[in-house]
Amino acid sequence: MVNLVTSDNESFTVEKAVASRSVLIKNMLEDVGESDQPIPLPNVTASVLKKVLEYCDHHKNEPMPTSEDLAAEDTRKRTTDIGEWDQKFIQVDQEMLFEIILAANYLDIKPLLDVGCKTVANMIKGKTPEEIRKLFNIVNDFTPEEEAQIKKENEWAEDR
Amino acid sequence: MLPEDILLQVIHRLSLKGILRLRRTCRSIQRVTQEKLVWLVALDQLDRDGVPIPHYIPFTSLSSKELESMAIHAFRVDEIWTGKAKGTCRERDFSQLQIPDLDMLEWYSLGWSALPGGQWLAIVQEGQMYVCDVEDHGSPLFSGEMTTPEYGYEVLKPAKLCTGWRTSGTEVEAVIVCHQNCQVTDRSAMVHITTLRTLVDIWIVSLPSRRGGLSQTVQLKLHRRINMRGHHVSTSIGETKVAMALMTSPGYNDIIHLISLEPTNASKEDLSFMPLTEPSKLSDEILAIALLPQHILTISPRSLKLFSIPTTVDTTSAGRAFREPDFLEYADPGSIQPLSFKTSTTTTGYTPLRGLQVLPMVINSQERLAFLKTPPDNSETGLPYAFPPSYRCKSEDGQPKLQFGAEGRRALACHTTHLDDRIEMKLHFATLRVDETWPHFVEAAMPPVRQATFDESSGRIFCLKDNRIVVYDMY
Repeated sequence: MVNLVTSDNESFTVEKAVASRSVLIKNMLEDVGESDQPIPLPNVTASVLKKVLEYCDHHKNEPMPTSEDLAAEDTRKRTTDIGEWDQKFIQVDQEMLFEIILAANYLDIKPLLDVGCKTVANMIKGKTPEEIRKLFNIVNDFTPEEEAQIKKENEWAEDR
Repeated sequence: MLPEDILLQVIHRLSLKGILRLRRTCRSIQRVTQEKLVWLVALDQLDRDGVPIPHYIPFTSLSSKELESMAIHAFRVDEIWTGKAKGTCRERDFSQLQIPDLDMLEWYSLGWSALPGGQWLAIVQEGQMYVCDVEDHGSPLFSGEMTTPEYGYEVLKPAKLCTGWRTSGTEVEAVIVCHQNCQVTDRSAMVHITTLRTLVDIWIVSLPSRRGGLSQTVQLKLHRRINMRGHHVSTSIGETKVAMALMTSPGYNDIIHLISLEPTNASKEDLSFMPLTEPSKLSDEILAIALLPQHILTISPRSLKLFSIPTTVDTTSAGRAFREPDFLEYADPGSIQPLSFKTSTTTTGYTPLRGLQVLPMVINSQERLAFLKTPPDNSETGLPYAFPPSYRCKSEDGQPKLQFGAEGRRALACHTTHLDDRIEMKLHFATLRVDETWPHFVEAAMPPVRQATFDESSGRIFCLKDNRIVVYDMY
């Protein structure tokens, strides 16, 4: 069993197979060897880690993606299909979605990062710039002239 | 919003249109969408989606802006080609080319050809040749006289640019321009031939890089072959880049020649044409020649022949012997006899389709666009070749002229009708989809112009209009 401590000081005890879905933790465990020392995760809060561990637990028996798989993944970036369980799992509010993506990035869990990025890409899909701004609370900082110019250049991409 | 490295990951998963819509949200996101990596991934994805991208220039040597415009151009042309968007002809804002010393009033003596990719235009007039950058208002990359210095100044006429040539006595009817080969490369070669009486000179000029100038590298002489017709393709054999020329002369045997573009051990004089085949093996008149990844395909009135391209060049024996190639013949007089063919002008884009080689071509006698399928590699049995349903391009009125070009799974036919000093053009596009559905055909009308040429790889059309060269894109 592995003991993980979050930024808000909550500790989680999980199976090694679950924790090792994170390449960061896996490498730490390999470096440290057998140890009861808790592993601090200063960039992850308890609520996010709970979610991430849920993902790791579900996928714990799957083979770890090899570097070849990841290279193949690179070539299939545009396929935005997400597995059924993953799709349900990632149905969270936007703040949590971003937190999960950041945690997956920090903990180095490539398949989860992929699911998160695909989800964001799917949210953007088919939306107008104004709708995207609203969705992600993006502040439009273009001057009216700049906006007119950039609109003119990219207008053909308007239709979805 | 997400940090930049993760935002990039999201952008890589967006469609091209998605990227452009996301770009319009705010400045910081706009900046991220201008990263070179975004467009390298986008181009790679387009390539995988089967969108033909004329990439004879290494992507990594291009700027982010250039990659972006290349991706967008390829995407938009493909949308029209596959019928997802309606084609129009739009005059580009960089369309008014400023070309010095060119007398546009003498437009009837003008010969021109777009180089693959649609960015360079080669123009010949009164023995002067210019190669200019279209997207830079026609700034010249090269200009020079197309004469043979030894024989003094002698003007070529008429000088047309195309991929085949014909000589009749001392007159050259065509000059050949081609680009180099199928792989991503920083080299393009341009070949032009001139003739003086019974002597034909073939010049191979190499384009060292996109930005660099042209330099003449090899000049070849071919003696006493009058009334010659030729085709040209180029490829690589092992490490050696070769140009292949087919010479046909009535009363002589047809011969395929391979010439090295990169002489290793020879001075210019040592380079001469090297026959690839025994003359006896090419007894039929050759209507067209095409280069497939492993074969040379020749089309004659009564047969199709496939020659294996040798995999090595023997440079030891007098520096010029190519190994005897394998040879396959598919003869089916019944189905080929009434047709004549023109194969694609660029022979670089043959895409294997489930083991088949697909070759777009126009069947002239019927003015039909069709795709020819040749057998799978290493297969000696089964279907030798087949035409899926073809498409009729001929209009009802007048004596139209059909120009044709093709690249990969796409073909473009331009149908011109002459009206006084203007011509009316109609464009026909054909695409064979990746999933091997039958060809998809689209038409688009063009404004009346005087003279036109097009580059099928980029779908760009160059017209002579009101004594100016104007550039049109399909979207």
